[in-house]
Amino acid sequence: MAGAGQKRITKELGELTTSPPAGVGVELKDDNNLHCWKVTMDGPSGTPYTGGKFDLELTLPPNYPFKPPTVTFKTKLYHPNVSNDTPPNSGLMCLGMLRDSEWKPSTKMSAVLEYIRHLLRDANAVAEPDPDDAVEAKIADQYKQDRAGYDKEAREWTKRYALGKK
Amino acid sequence: MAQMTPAELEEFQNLSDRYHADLPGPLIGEKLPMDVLVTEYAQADPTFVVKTAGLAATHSAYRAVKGDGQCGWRATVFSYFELLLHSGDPSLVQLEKIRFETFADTMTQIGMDYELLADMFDYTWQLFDKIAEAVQNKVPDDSIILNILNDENLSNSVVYHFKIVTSAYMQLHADDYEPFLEMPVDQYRVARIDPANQEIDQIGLQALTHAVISTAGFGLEVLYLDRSMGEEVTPHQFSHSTGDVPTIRLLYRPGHYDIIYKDTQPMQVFLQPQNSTMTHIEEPQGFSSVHDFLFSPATVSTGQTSSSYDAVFQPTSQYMQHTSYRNYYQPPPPTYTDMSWYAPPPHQQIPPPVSMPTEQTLPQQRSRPSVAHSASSRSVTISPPPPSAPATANEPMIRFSTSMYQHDVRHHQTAPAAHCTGRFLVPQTHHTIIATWGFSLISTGLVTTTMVELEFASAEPGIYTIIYSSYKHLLFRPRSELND
Repeated sequence: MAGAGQKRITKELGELTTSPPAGVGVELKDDNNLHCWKVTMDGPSGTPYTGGKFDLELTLPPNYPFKPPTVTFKTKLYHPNVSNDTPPNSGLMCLGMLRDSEWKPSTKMSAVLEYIRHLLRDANAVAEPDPDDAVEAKIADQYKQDRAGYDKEAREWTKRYALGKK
Repeated sequence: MAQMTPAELEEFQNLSDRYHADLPGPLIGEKLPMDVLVTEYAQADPTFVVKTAGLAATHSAYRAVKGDGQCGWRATVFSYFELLLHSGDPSLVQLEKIRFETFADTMTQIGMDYELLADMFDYTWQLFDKIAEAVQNKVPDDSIILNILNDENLSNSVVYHFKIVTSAYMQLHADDYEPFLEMPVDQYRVARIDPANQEIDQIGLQALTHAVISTAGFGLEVLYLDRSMGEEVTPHQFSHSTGDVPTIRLLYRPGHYDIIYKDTQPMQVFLQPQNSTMTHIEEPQGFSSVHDFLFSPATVSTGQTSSSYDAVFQPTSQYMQHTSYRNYYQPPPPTYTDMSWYAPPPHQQIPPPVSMPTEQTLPQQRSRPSVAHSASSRSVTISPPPPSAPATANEPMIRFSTSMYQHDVRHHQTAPAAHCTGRFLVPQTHHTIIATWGFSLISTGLVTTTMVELEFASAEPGIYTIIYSSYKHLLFRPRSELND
């Protein structure tokens, strides 16, 4: 049944397209489907992701907002919270706030997207890469123990996959 | 076994989070006799069997709630609306809707984005309006609530509304809850109340009771069906008063809540003189005490012709096809001159147990003076606890005392399913006896007997036979007059 979910999505999408958070762009992947969003995210400045343009896909379940959305990076990036597994798992994010048991229907998509962008920030940011929520354990370890190595690798991936596109 | 890597653990957590058993059935089930629950639980833990059999003696019906991780919330929300629907009080329904509307201020006050959430509350307002209309028109049909609460998205919206109200209430009264929490109230709300897919816990249920249930004038009681010793289910009151106000009752077994109902309705007692050929029961002989007599094998009638569980419990069973039975289950008219409305057809020795009367009939029963009788028969309506209505000299008064209520589960005994008979002696006009009757489940072989105190304030002395009893109805018939 359509109902509150559709209304809610329309409202949020409207807000996000008229006044998106800094460095984030949102549009429908297909005009006929409210539940699948195409998101572009600029790599925050002062991070190994600077200059990169990252494509993400945000999928809202049919029973949204009572079930969490899923967010997938379509552009490869080197980050502890983003899977660099082979498809279909590549780009999957595992965020606590998007877990079934923690998901709150009062959470807006703008907040989710801002949180993801924070995750791309460097050490002094509000939310740095969160090693405890990691999908990529090796990257998480490296982030904790060899920050320079991590930065270098992430920068190279950004250059290889997210620069000079579009 | 090799240690799992954090990534593997994460994946398992993910799978587990996303796993939802595809459970059959609606979110909120139909109201069913307790015996169905007893049969269902009989296949489970033996401790549960004894305890649920005991519950069947003290409670009349239950509703299964789907165990989708929200059953405690949904059961309480459903029961709240059910009590409103059957309150018969349109102003209460209006008042409750207004009270919910004013929570908008509370939510805004504690920093919630009310505008964002408001769309989800539309279904709650619709439900209040439909209930108000039904109460006004005196057609309290449960389907009004079921239609909304059994549609997953609508149901989740309404349940979420209650969560957010509870959350806002807790934050506003943080000092009341903080001593019981291991974390500050705002953290607790974020972790346990606000998420869409968290089941209610004890503190949450307490807060929901404070925020919504007791403020509406309702009570809330949870019966804990656990593996502790004993044959009775442990009740826990979440509100101060549960005895004398409409009360939500939840049955909890580890990890799951169902709705359970207790009879607070008047018990009806029917007395009939011995001029009928309906039953054939031996005259009592040489019993030394009423108690012995009641427990003697002869007191269990074998006249019940039905041995089929289904036939006995299904409201739509063949018995209900008889017009005379249907009439029988309607509340008797305020005055009547004969008992023809209740006489079963001759081929049926004993009237069958049936489903409970519909709720609509209850106010009439409550308001009717206790006694009506004719030369050939007597019918008495009584209410627990003992009513104050005086019985006139020639009218029998049978009082039912809940304080005497006990039950006792006996194994290795069979009796006709859900059917109770017993005979007892009323030697003098003012006399109190302990009556015992029982029912059994053919499927489990358990017999539950129930003891109540029956006070015959002014019944004609004689020997009476309980010819029929359900959870709501007892039917008594004097076997003979002592002075005959």
